[in-house]
Amino acid sequence: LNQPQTGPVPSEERSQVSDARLVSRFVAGEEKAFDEIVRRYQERVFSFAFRMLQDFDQADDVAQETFVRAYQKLGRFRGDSTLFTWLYRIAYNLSINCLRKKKLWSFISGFGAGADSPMDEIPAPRGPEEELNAYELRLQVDAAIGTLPSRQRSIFVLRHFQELSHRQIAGILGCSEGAVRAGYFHAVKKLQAALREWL
Amino acid sequence: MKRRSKTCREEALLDYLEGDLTASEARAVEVHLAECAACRQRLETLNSALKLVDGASHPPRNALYASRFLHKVRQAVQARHARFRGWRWRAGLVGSLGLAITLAWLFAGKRAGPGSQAVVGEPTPPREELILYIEEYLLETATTDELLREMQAVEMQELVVLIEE
Repeated sequence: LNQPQTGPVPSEERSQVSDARLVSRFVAGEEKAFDEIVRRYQERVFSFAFRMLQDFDQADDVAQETFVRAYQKLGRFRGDSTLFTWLYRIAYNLSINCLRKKKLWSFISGFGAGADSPMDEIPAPRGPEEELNAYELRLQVDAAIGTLPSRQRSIFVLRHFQELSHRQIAGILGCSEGAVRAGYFHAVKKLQAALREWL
Repeated sequence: MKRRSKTCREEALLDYLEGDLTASEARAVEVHLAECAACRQRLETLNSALKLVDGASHPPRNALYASRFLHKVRQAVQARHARFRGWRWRAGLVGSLGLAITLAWLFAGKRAGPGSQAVVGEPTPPREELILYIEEYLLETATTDELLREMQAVEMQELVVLIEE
């Protein structure tokens, strides 16, 4: 374990410190630089994992594990890709593993995919009709995203919610930009079909 | 059969919606949209679907939870490191002891086996020499401070008993 350095990354520098600089500081033994990396990307990594897994606890585990692995491997990060692309790649692999486990577990337990329905995660509101409608829509959208194949789901989440470029997504998933474009288009069409009663 | 225009492709409409087209490509789509009601309808439906997805977004984690996250990551890193260190130490110790036992067995075999008849008069390695050999081996192969410290703490007498067994 690197020896912790005293003092945080100076706040006035925080916004200007580049990812590459943070990585080199961490590799040089400045533990606080890692804390800054976590602060900078935790929301995006969690959000990605949550969209992929549609389960708060699992998303939290995946996000946490992403940073633990990043901590262990950051010394070998060569900067071929940007830091956040690299983090997304870790989160993507962990999310896919988690989805596979969920699928296997659903199969073994015999409950089917519905066992992990987002309905278990979000309590139904008891408020006015609009709230109920919004709740229904959210369930419908989650269910529609949940039916996408894992790769298409990743592409859709990274593109639509994380607002990454085709190129960045291609870098994360290790495929061509054309494949990302096609995957995104098919995902949107499937979502459109699943939500047609709301359109 | 009426042939669909190149700009009637929904992929192009989606790229247009997402702002992924060059200025000239976007202009071509706009020109096409002005004269193609079907594509205007497709564009509207695509746009509505994406807006629905956006409208159903989940609330973000609260600030308190986010602030605990770093602490949890730190704890996990420490726990993982401690576990790895323990595993590495044990693996080193088991490997070293295994080799020490093998060496001892080989020495014992040489002394007791038929081959030993051919080297009558050759001095057998004294116990101290054997111990020194094992100790040197352990020092050479130890890769961590923890292993070194641990091996120094092992009583040589215990090693001798182990070898004799």
